[in-house]
Amino acid sequence: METATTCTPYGKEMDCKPTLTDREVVDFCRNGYLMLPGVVPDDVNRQVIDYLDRVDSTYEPTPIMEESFFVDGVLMNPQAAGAVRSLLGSGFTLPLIISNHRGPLPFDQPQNWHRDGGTIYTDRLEYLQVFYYPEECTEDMGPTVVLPGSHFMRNKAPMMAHLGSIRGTVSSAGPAGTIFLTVYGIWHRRSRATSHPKGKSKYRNLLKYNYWRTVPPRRDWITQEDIDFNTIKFDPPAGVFEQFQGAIAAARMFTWLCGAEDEYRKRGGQCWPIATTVRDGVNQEGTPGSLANP
Amino acid sequence: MDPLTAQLKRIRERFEDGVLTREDIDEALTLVNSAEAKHGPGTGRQSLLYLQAPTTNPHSAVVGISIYEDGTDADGLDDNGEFRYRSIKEALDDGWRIIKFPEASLAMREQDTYGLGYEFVLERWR
Repeated sequence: METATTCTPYGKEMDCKPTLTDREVVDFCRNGYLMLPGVVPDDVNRQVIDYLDRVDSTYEPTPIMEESFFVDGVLMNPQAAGAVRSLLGSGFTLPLIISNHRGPLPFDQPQNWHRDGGTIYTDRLEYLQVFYYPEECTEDMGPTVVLPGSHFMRNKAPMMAHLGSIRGTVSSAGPAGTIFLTVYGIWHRRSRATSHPKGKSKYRNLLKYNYWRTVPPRRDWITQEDIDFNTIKFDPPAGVFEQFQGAIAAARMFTWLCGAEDEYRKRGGQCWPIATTVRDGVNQEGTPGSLANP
Repeated sequence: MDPLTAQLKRIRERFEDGVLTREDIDEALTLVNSAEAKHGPGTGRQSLLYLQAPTTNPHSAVVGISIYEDGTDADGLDDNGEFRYRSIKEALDDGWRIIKFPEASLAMREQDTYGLGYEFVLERWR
């Protein structure tokens, strides 16, 4: 007889086809997030909103995971789960908790900038924090904004509370069914909501949940034969890093994801990945062997 | 020469001439109170401006801004959604003064990045 634990999807190991390419995985390492606008079908979005309005309007509507429309349409949505599979490998686990940041409309104060509690700074991408808008979230509804590349910027959340506007931030506003994946420690906040209640639910619903890795990392996403890791940029786009330090951190994360951590030798100076102007076919000093040109 | 310094020199001269009056001293005290209201604590309210820059240069362009002042948007944006001060110099020219320079101890581990750039804290009194 199956136990309740085996019947439910909480923490269940899953697999599917990876959908990200080398280039997209590098970009995730640089940015610390990936936007997937409107990937969940409208009929699923409507069922989710209905559930959140009628069944469970709490901060943690975790039992929604027992609804097949949610597991199949959201958690295992082909594009979202394909990205998760690319970054966490086969056998990634489904979430254990679903949170809903059900923000009132309007809401005149932006949230403080923060990293979520429990963040550690590491090259190791052991888990992903994923967000989902079941209804359209416009700029005036207070979408979450993220600071690209900030997953490598150390800080304590209580020491970020005085920060205000930051150059280079990116809004997650998008159509219904938008999902975005993040490195857990990325800096983010809910922006000011000037909109009056709108949408079916009259709230800004934003679900949040984590997937976890169960296997060692390896480069088993969609590999690109023609990519040259010597000439692509690893720098995060935000201009708040000391020169090259963000690129070095992103390259270290990518190398770990490739399972090539032991091949990475940062000797200082113009070592990989910063000397991107080398001639075609030439390897930078320190390029990991499995990522180098033959 | 500022008015207060001028008055103090005048008081010394009048003292040496033996003609110093209570009114001469009261005038100096009035000037002291006026100067505090304009430049220091006095009876005014302190406003704070945080500016984050990519370097410690006090004329740097800024990457982050927040303002804590009555009646002002804390996000430090103007009506067009632009930073109210694009550089630390613009803030200095507008009457703010630096009261804290970036924390150098946060830059001592050369391989790690701490915080949002290099933060200047400025004040003004209203």
